[in-house]
Parts: sequence; structure tokens; C-alpha cells
Amino acid sequence: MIYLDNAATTLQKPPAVGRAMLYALGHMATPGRGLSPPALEAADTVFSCREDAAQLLGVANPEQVVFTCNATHALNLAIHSIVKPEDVVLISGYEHNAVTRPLSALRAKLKVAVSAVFEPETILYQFETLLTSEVSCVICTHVSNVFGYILPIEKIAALCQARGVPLIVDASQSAGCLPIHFDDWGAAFAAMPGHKSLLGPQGTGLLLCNHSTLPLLYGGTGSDSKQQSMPDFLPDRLEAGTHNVTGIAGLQQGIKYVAKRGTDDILAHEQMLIARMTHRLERILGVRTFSATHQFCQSGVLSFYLYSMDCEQAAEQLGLWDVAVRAGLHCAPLAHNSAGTMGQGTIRASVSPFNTVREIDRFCDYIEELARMQ
Amino acid sequence: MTQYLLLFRSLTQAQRALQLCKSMHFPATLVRSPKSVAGDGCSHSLRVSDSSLQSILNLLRQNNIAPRKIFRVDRGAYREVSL
Repeated sequence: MIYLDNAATTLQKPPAVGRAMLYALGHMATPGRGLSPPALEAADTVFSCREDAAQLLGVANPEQVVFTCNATHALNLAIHSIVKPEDVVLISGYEHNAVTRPLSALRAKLKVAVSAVFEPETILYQFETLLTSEVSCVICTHVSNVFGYILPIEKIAALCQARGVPLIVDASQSAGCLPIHFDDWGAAFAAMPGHKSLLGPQGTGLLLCNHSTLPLLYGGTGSDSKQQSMPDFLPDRLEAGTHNVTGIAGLQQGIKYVAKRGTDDILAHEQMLIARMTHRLERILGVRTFSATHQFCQSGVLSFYLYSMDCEQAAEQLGLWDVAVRAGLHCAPLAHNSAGTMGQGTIRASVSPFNTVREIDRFCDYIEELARMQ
Repeated sequence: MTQYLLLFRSLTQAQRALQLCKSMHFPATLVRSPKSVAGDGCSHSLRVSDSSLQSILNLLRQNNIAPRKIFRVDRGAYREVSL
């Protein structure tokens, strides 16, 4: 199989991830409930994973690293902590439903910073113009899950800091393949999954916190048990119930791989593959690609469509040829509104550190075959 | 040898404290806080010796970690102290 749906979840993980998970299953109990050897081993693993994550993501205090089930859970926690019903919230035109649906549930009044794809200066100008005094929160994706569009998050963060407005960063498509400097950003929260570019298993996620928090889940934390309110300190406040220790053990190995290889190297590899893919697809008659003029604007994701073939049908045919991509709106209708692709959707190919040039070349051969079928 | 119990608000904070102690070679053991002193319920503590106590407290202070309470362990009994 040629797996090019890494923006949904990475399929190939470093071997140490699986080994760590298997080991955890038979040897690690629950941290914070007892101090038997299996409980202590679980506690040590969870703590050291927090530390490794803090180091990779630019967080000084590992207590600010909260484990979640996924990025959606992390985003909901962050939004719930800051946004009140009917608040005015400024978002980018590339946000995922994991941001827009919680805001919809809160009946938040949205201001949307729009730009065409791969126009960071335009979107920054939009943020500067729209960030007025009634805005209570800014939420911005670091990288669009549809187009791989890298937004100027450092400048947006600086703008939010200068105007005293809390920022929530959706780092779902950047954690593990772009450098993240959470403390430097001065953001209130950054949310990310463990199972995409951090190369951990599904069922894991991280929320980096630099703001007061409101729990979504209430329950046991192994601390202050007599109190009937959730602890007022992190990470316990946001981590009720038993941890996914097996998942965290695997996530730690993914993080170690990323840290060792370096996000610069990973990004360079992924951008090289996407550039090669774009170069081939742009030359196929009947194919429209969405690619950046400047590589620094695009990560390891490429969206495209065939003029005369439904994107879902194209993806289905690719599936028959043992090629995995994603098609449709990618849970991000706002992004398609911004790019003008709401009508037809797109086919999205997204790479990982483990995809190869040969796979990309074969993929492009298949797209040529699809184009001939139109 | 006299021992002290440094009680922390969370397991994670206790682990941070333990790691700092280990980095400076101060002997310390992570324990669950005895029920009689746990206060608001379950918590974790570091058991440290008298001889390293002050150095450990200084180290924790430099790293913005403050034990919630400190107990002197005296023949199996715990007496809260302030230092």
C-alpha cells in the first residue's frame, strides 16, 4: 500500500512505539493510585513523556503539558476554558470542525480572517484589522489540514500578545513536523494529537496550557480526594480518570523519534516529496493543484482535484490500486470556502517521514492513469 | 537518622521534585502521603533525610516548587513543621 493519508493519522510509526505499548500492557499499572512497581513504572513513564513533550514543544514546566484523547478533546478543553456563550471570537478561514463546532455550540459570534491559500501576508493583515476590542479570544490553526498552508503563527501570536487577547493554536498538523515554541509564542493554549506527526498511537493528544482552565471531565485524579471540586492545579485539573498509559508509552517513543531526527529534517523531507508530487501533477492535463509559490508556506500536504472526476470516486479508484488518500471536505468546510473548493472538494495527499520518492512517483503514475480515465 | 516528609499537591509535582533531587544527588524517595497527614485526601510526598533537607528546600525554591506541608518523622509519628 502507498499510504498518503498521514494528515488523518500516521500509519507507519517508529518500531519503538509498538514495542513500548506492548511492554506497557503487561508491566504498567495506573500512575498516582498506588506505588507498587507497576504503578511506579507507569508514573515514571507518564512523567518522562510529559518532560519529553515539554522539551520538544518549548514548554518550561512539564506540569503545563496535559494528556488528552486527541486534538479535538484538547481544543474543546481550551475553548471551554476561555470562550463564554455568545463571545466574539476571531478565527482564521482555515479552521477545522474541531474548532468551529464547539464555537457553534457556544453560539459564539465569529469574525473570520480570510485569505486565498498560501497568502500569509494577507491573512496576517486580516488578523490585524479584525482583532478589535470586542474579541475575547483568537483561535488559529498553525497549518491547514486541507492545503498544508502554513499560517504565520509567530506573527499572529505576537499580535495577540500585544493586544492582550488569548490565543489558542491548533497545532494538529504542525506538531512533530514544524518547530513549536509554545512559551515564546505566549499563547494561552496549543492543542495537538499524538497520532499524527508526533508518531504516537491513536487515543493520545496534548494540550499545552498557559491560561486558567475549566475541566470538561470530573472525576478521580489521585490528588486532594476529599475535595469535591477538581484540583485547581495542572495537570490534575484536566486529567480526571485513568490515563491511557499504553498510549502515552507509545507516544513517548514517537516524540523521542521526532526529537532525535529533528523537525527541520522531517519538514525538509516532507516538503521535498510534496514538491516532487506537485511538479508531476501540475503537468497532467485535467488536474488542478493547490501549491505554494514559496515552500515555506506549505507543509507535507497537497490538495488537488481532477476536473472531470468526482473526488470521492477518484479516491475510491485509488483505493482499488492500494493507494490511501482522503477526499471531500476533510472536516474543514471553512477552508474550502476560503479556497473556493466547496463545490467539488479536493483529494488530499499527505506524507510522513517514512514516505519515499518511489512511492510519490508511483502515486503520480496512478494520477496520470486517472486523468486518462476522465 | 531523622527524616522529613515533603508533601506535594500532585504526583507530577512530586516527580519534578524527585528528579531535581536526583540531579543533585540528594537522596529522596517518592511515597504516598500517609493518611494521617494527607490532608485533603490522597497525595504524594518525598521522604528526605535531615542532612539534605535545607539543600533540597533551596533547590525546590529555585525551581518554583513549594511543598504544601513539611512533616518531621519522629518514631513513626508525623509532626508538621514550618521551615
